[in-house]
Amino acid sequence: MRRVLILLVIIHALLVPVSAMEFTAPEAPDEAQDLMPPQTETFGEGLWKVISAAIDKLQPQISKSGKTCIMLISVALLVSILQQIPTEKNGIVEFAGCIAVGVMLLDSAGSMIQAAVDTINSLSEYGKMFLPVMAGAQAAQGGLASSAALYTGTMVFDAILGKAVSVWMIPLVYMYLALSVAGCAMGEDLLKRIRDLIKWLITWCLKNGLYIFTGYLSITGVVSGATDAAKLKAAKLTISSAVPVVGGILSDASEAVLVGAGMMKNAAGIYGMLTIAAIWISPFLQIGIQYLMLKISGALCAMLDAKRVSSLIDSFSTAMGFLLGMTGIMCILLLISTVCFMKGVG
Amino acid sequence: MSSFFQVAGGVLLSVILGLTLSKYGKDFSVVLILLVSCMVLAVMAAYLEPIIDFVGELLRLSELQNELLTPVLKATAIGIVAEIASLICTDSGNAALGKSIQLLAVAVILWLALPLLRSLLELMQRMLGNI
Repeated sequence: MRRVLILLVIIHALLVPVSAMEFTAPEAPDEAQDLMPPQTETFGEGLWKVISAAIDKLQPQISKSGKTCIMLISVALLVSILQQIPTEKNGIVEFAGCIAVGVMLLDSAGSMIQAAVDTINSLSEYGKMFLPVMAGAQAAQGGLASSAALYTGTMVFDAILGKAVSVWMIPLVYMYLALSVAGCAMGEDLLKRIRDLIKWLITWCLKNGLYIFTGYLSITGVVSGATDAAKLKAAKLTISSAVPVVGGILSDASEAVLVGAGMMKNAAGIYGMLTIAAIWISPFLQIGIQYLMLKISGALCAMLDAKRVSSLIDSFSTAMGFLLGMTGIMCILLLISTVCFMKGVG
Repeated sequence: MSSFFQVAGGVLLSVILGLTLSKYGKDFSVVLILLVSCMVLAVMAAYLEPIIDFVGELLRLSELQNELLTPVLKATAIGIVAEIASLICTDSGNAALGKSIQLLAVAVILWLALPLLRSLLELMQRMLGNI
């Protein structure tokens, strides 16, 4: 009886409280909640619902951009009519036209820039909550090295890009617009050259940032993924050969646990990807519509005799292109990381 | 449209008349050119009326502020008047006076453009203020 009691005490002392690990993606932020589909089992279907909901909310932006388009064409037409009057002092007409276009587009450009910054911040904040979940799930599935490398890489690039956009690139976009307005109003070539330099700088940074990130992912994916796969294989072999009689069963059970962890990780990944898409799609489409309308206005104004006005509209559309690039890269960065986490080990 | 051909014919006739009158005295020819130019401007004003209405419609569509357009319209009008006055002066052998009128027009147009320059400066400040 005493032995039994001692045995019970020892067993009790050795008991470790355990529970099933749960990997769920964090809730979508408020601004993305309206776009989230009720069911998130299938990624394709969910994404389509997110896109449809975003398109439904786009109507006011389309009419606003359409109105801006008409206003711009009216100004260009006005400038081209006034320029037909044959005097040698026509410079003032284009000068006034450029200022008018600048005043008209500055407010909408400002709100688009703010929307892009907010989206990048939201994506970055969500990534900070979501990626640790995916990294944990990946680690639970046996991908310790790859999850650490992927998580570290994504977080570093996310931080660098977020900082670069808010501290460096947004001011550059404003400078680009200011130089465009001044250059087109004055017809000064030097200002246009500086503007082109800024354009090149922003494009170069965005492109190469993404190249470096995808390059980093490929290298770490190959190296650490192969290491994790080898480690897992070795562990399974050790269990099945070292433990007599039940070794094979234990090894198979561990496989089932890994598959379960993988399924949870994929469910969290799909929800997370849909949330990322829901945060990103609405501002991206809004900026996209503005970009498209400005491109159309620029093309129509180019047909009229208002070259400086048309060039200024093109500059504003290029600035919208920068914003599309910035938000797009941030979204792609998170989506690629999530897909890499979901890909699993090996 | 027919009045354009009438005016063009009238102008050509006045040129011939001016050449004939210049034999008797240059003053007659200058006065004739002045009169014909004023008549042409009056006909032009009649044609410009619907264009000004259209410009007004464009203004309504583009929701432009008056401060941006008024100097442009005034500058255009000053440019036209200065151009014609300068050419008349040159034709009558007073090229220096013609040039002076041109310079005066440039100064007045620059003065008129001051509010536009201020708008440009404000725009720059607003843009650069966001940095």
